[in-house]
Amino acid sequence: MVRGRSKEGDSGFLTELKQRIKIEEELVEAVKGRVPTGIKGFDELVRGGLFRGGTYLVSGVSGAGKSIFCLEFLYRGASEFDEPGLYISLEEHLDSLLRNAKNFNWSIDELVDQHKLILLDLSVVAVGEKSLSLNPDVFALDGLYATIEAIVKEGGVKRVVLDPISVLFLQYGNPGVVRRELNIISSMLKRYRCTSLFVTETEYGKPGITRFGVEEFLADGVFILYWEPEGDKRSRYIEVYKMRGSPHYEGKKRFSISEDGISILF
Amino acid sequence: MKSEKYKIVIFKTNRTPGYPQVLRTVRSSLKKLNLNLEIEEVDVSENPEMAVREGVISTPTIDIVGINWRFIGLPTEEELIVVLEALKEGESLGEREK
Repeated sequence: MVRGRSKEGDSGFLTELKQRIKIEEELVEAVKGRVPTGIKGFDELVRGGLFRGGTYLVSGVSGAGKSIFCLEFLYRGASEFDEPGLYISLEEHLDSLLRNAKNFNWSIDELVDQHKLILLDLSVVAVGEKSLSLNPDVFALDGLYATIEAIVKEGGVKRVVLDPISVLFLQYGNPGVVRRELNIISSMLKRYRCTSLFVTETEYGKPGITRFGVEEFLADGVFILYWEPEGDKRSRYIEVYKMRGSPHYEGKKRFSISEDGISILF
Repeated sequence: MKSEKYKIVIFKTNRTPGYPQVLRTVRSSLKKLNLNLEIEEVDVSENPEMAVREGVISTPTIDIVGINWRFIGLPTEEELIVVLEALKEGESLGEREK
């Protein structure tokens, strides 16, 4: 609030005005190169949005709302910010995801028809009836890399979701190699200026922000979703645990899920 | 005579670790079983549409076409032989039925 001016306060007034202008300019600069998520209230928590080309981890227990958060990130990007998105399901069959999406006022089918949203099912179910032998000690995730790169290039994709990456750690058994390979994919996405969300899981009641303890090191930011019992109900919370290069709200915030999507409650 | 019903498809890139060994293992397994199968090598970085279509996330991935078997990673010769023997059974049955 600007204080009243007086002859002695003129310099004080001007100083305060300059400070306010500086803060505004810093905010404008900060928002440049930022990608608004479009998720109600979330961009305020991260002071304007995500950094373009960044990779962010969305972590949480089962049922916390991670997939909905990510799907809304893509939905808002495609419908409000003209940023086509790619959702890659590594575990849940897409039919199940789309069934959940029908609970919202989101025109997912329309965006898919317009090629603004690409849904790719790489879950085990999608592999079909093949019998599998796994010897995953020696491998490269270059099939995933090639798939993502091809779709990003052809579709002009600007937002990508990998859901969940934890299944890669479980299937391939060598967390160091998985982390290296995901870093390679992340670098490729940065080159294409794609902003990405990688989903990972935690186990309820167990310490640690990620299940395997390495996922957070490959991300520019970490958002944790969880729920806490409150009496006979459960309340959902979100926390910006890490946000490289930007101040952010520290602490947990309640959020709700309605037919319009996620809303952070202030 | 080469089987037309069965073949081996190996998905790889130039980053695939242990690739020369994969090829050697497949060839020696086929030789031990006296199986004459086509080996098709698919570089997924040059053919990403095949990676998408076949759901190939990692390499090496080896598909035994005709018996719907997939190896993810580096199989041992013993593991390959066990699976290929089933294929050989199928070939023998096919021949007897002709």
